[in-house]
Amino acid sequence: MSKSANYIAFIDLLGTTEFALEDKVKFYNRLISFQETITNNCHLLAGDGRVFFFSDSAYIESDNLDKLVTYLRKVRKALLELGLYMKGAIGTGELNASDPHNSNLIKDRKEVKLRKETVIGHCFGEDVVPIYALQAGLKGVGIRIAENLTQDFVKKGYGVASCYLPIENNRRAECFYDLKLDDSELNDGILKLYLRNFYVTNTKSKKYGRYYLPFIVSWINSTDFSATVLTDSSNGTGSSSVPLIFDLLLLSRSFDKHFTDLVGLEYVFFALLNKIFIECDSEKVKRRVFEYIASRKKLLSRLGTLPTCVMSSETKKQFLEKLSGKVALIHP
Amino acid sequence: LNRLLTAHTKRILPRYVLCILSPGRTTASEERVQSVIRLTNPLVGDMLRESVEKLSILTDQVYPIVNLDMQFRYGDNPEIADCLTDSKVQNPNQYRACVFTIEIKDNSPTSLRKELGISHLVAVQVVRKGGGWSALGGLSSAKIEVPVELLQYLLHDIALDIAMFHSWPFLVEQFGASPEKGNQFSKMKAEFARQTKRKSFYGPINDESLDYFPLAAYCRRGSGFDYDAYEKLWKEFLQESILGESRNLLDVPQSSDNPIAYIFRHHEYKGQLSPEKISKDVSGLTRGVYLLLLTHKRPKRGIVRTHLAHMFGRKRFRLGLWKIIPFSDFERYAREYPYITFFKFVVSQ
Repeated sequence: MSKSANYIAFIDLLGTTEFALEDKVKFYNRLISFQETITNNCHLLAGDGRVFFFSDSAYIESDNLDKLVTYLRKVRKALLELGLYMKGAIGTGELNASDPHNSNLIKDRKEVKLRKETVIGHCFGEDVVPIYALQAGLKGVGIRIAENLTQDFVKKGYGVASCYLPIENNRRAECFYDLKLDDSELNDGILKLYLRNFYVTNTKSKKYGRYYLPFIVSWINSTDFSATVLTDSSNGTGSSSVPLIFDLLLLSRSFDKHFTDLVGLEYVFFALLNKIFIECDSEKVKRRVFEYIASRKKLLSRLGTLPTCVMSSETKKQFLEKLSGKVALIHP
Repeated sequence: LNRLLTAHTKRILPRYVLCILSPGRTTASEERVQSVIRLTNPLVGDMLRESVEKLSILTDQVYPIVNLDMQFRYGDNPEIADCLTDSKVQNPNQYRACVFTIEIKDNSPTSLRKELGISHLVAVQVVRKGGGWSALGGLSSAKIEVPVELLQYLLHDIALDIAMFHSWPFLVEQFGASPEKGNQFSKMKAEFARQTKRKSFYGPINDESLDYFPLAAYCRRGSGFDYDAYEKLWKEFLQESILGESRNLLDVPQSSDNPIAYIFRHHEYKGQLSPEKISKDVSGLTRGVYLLLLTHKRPKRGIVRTHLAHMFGRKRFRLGLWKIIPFSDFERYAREYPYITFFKFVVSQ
């Protein structure tokens, strides 16, 4: 690459170790699918970036942010459609991939040739360290955006607020900016498959259950709820005029039925409430969300611990004001 | 009744489908097709599970679960043999279909099927408008042209025929031993299908020399499926093409397997069962279909626990109580799910 790269990303396929222990054919197929997806979309970076990958992880560099984001989204979409999930991080810097053969220093051509034939691999520069640490700290499905890039990403419509649970036995969430899902990724089939896989995995496991949370919050924050309208037919049986996530959480309530013990469930509901209060014009929709959440004591008890990335202080104020009307209500 | 009869059996057949997608820069419509293909796998899995459950309740047979897994490759090479002999393909003998978004070619000798250990292989060409079944020769047993929207139904139907074949132990014994025998069976099925001249959901049979045809294609009704017609059609095929006039399907042993061995091979909680006690009870059973019930989950309410204990002839409930009942009593006990598990087995003599 002739031009200097400004952006770097690291992605890592989740759950590979578990598959290695479970089923070697599936394990191998996952790696092949990852490899094929990485290589098949490389034309999106052509001339403006490079990808170094090994097994279930890849380092990507590009000096064109738009191309890098398009590439990452395409790769993520293809993997989501296959039921494969990844975590990663994006930041600034250069990979500075080293030449392991020191071909400039060794004069013996035979030795250089032998080294090139025997050793394949790279070592990266120090810029990679914070990016790797960013993704390692993220306990869940998502592509974390480095702090110095968040403003740019949000401005360009590439970033979306999300949260994850950093400590295994603690419900306290930490905020991060995730790579926003674009319209082609916000496909009902992908969400259904994700929830299906989520259900199949032991969702009650505190170790693994929390890995699924950030994606659902990012999905909610990436979805456009402005056109959500409740028709008369959508009284609990589902309606085509609402996004699927809304239907699952509030109309059919299948999410609640199947993921009762999910760690961090409150963040999902409050993220939805936040989006609806900010984006949606329909009072009926707002009322439906409010009433559902207000009727659940467990959710309300978590209100004080919500980070601002899940619920803005303004929405929280609105919600509390509405809720305060109920406080003095005396039931016969 | 969901998942009642298949939830606790470990009899699973792994089968694969290879999908070759166009690589590199793709148009929006190609991308949509690829997207649908990639999302097909879980849909087929759900449909298969439902079908096996329904057939398990409707019939006396014991069905295995076919675990159909789709593999994806991006490539320009339309030659089926090259795709299946690729070093990336493990266990090629378990592949039953190849789905292509590029135009399929099959110039390899038919003998390659035997070399790879494949009994039958369906070449699926994704097209805008379905064109029916034809013979391609070479490695594939049949070629079918389908729109991408019907792909999930087609793969389900192919896999359901596999489950049906494995639910008749005498068929597995007679035709499951080698790929040639399996191939012979597929040809007989295709010939029967051609002669019956019914309406195939995926389009007509265009070639007389077709080596494979799933009978499920005759029972597909859009997104629905006629399970009764399917069972009837299979029985008709077995009687006419396999058994002939000399043998009656009713006299054919349902299972050549020793039921006790079958239980201890496939029951998910076999560790909780006593081989001596089970053997004693099973050996006294007459020919027929039975269910082995096992208490698996402790009800929270005491009244339910007492009721269940009485059902198992005990005063107090505990996990691991078991009982054998005739399959016809299934519905009476089904309401006790999930506190008890159900395991279907057949006694042949």
